Amino acid sequence: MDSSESNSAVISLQGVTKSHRDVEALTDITLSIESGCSTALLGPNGAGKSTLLNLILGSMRPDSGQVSVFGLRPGSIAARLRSGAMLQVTGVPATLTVQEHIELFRTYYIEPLTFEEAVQRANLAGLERRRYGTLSGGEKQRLHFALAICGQPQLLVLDEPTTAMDVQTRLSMWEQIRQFMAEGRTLLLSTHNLRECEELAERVILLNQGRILADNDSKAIRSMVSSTVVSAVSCLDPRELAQLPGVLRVDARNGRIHLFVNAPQQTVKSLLDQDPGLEDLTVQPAPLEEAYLHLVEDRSSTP
Amino acid sequence: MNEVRRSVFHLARIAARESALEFLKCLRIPAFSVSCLALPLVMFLFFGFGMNWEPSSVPQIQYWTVAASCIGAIGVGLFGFGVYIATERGQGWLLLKRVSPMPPSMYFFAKTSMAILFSLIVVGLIFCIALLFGRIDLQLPRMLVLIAVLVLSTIPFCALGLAIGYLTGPNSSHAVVNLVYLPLLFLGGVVVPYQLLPDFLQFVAVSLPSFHAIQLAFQVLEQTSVSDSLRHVTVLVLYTVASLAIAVWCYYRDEGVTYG
Repeated sequence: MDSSESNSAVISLQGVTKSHRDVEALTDITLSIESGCSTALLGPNGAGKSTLLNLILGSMRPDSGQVSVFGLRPGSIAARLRSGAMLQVTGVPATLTVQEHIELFRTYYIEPLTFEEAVQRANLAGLERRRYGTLSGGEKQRLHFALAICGQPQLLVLDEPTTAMDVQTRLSMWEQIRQFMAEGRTLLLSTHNLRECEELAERVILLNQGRILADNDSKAIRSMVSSTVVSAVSCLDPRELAQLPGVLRVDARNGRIHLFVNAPQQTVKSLLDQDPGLEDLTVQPAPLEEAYLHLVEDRSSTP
Repeated sequence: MNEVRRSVFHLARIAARESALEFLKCLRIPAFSVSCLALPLVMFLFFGFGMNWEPSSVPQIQYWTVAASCIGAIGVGLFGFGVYIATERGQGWLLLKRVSPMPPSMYFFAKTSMAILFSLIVVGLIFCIALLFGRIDLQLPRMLVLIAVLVLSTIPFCALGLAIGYLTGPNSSHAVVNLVYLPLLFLGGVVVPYQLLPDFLQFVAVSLPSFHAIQLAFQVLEQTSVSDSLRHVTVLVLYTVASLAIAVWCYYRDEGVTYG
């Protein structure tokens, strides 16, 4: 990469709106992503993450507004030569081997990784001669990753790279992504996993119903979003509960209270201190749809 | 100049590897490779050698050499394109190809090369059997022209298969291809000679691409006038263009459909 572009925007969107049939998937999005930065798009299903990635990859066109990638039209061959993508692909031709798939994608690029290098970086050693159809779920994802990186792209786009992976496979995929990123490349990933944002992204863009709800470094987003829901039968007043440390939002229904929190240990400790008669305490990860509902409510109450 | 040469070389490499792997991929799917070979060969052996039936003025073995080759070429085009494009669209594979730096034309070039190669294998096998166990009254140059015409007659059906692949989903494509394939063979005067069809079906036959494909081959076999051949080629080209237009329209309609 030459120095003239090291600080310029790799991705730039200006006032982009996109509808699917009559539903607006993205509304007036303006953002830019700098070279060498790793960015996560965080949001529940239907937030517009995939639509945004599609626009950047050029497989969709905006209804209005401008999208550019490396200053080029998204989807142009020149832009595609500098990008690699891992999409939510459910199947790759099953009768070709790992080696055949990687060799094929290598020919698309001008200066690809060597085959051995691609295999090693995607942790596929020993599987080269296996047909795609015989691979396990995690091995398939690793091949998809190999196809994304084998062209040494400057921009790596990952659409929910670790969805449906078990914990062990997810950890090693994160490690592989981090290794690849260590070379000053630009990463854009979509996820609905807060932990994944912390592990991989410096910057997090929180999307909700096609709008950017927050755009900040991942620590700041971490404190705005509740990772955990603490639920119990308590006699405390919801207003008191809202004052407890780490509580972002209180929801009382069916005789139970649900606290959306970002510091579960502290919250539980003071909850037990204040209400010794507390019953049936549960602590669970918060579903993403609820994790930042308080941000949506704040916004609608202060127009 | 060097730049141009390099990009031509780059494209040629993609074309070669994409085609080779497309062929390997299909060869390793028995549902495709076996059925594309089996139906025409069984028809050829049964009607060409088994039955004692001279369906038209053309000698029996020669008639079935042409007809079975045509059955093979049509099947390879329709199934190779129709079924697998629908499947690959459904899986999101086509989308991954579309965002990779592969020029889209290469995907279709590879599929067409695969179909032509498969078609060559089927037609070649049928001609080998015909020459070994029967007789074909043709000079070598004309026989080569006939083989070329039969092999290349897969192309309009590739285009038709492409349109079906884009119009249908991964679950319905196989059924739809069969619903198109069988009428093309029976009503197009391929399995049953056109002259034996009742009048109203003859009317249907002349509007089908399969009719024009097999008639074109018979004209090469019987060395009849060039003007008739031109008419058949024109109809086949029109079918190809119309199918491609439908596929292109669907390609743009497809935007992000397989992509949640």
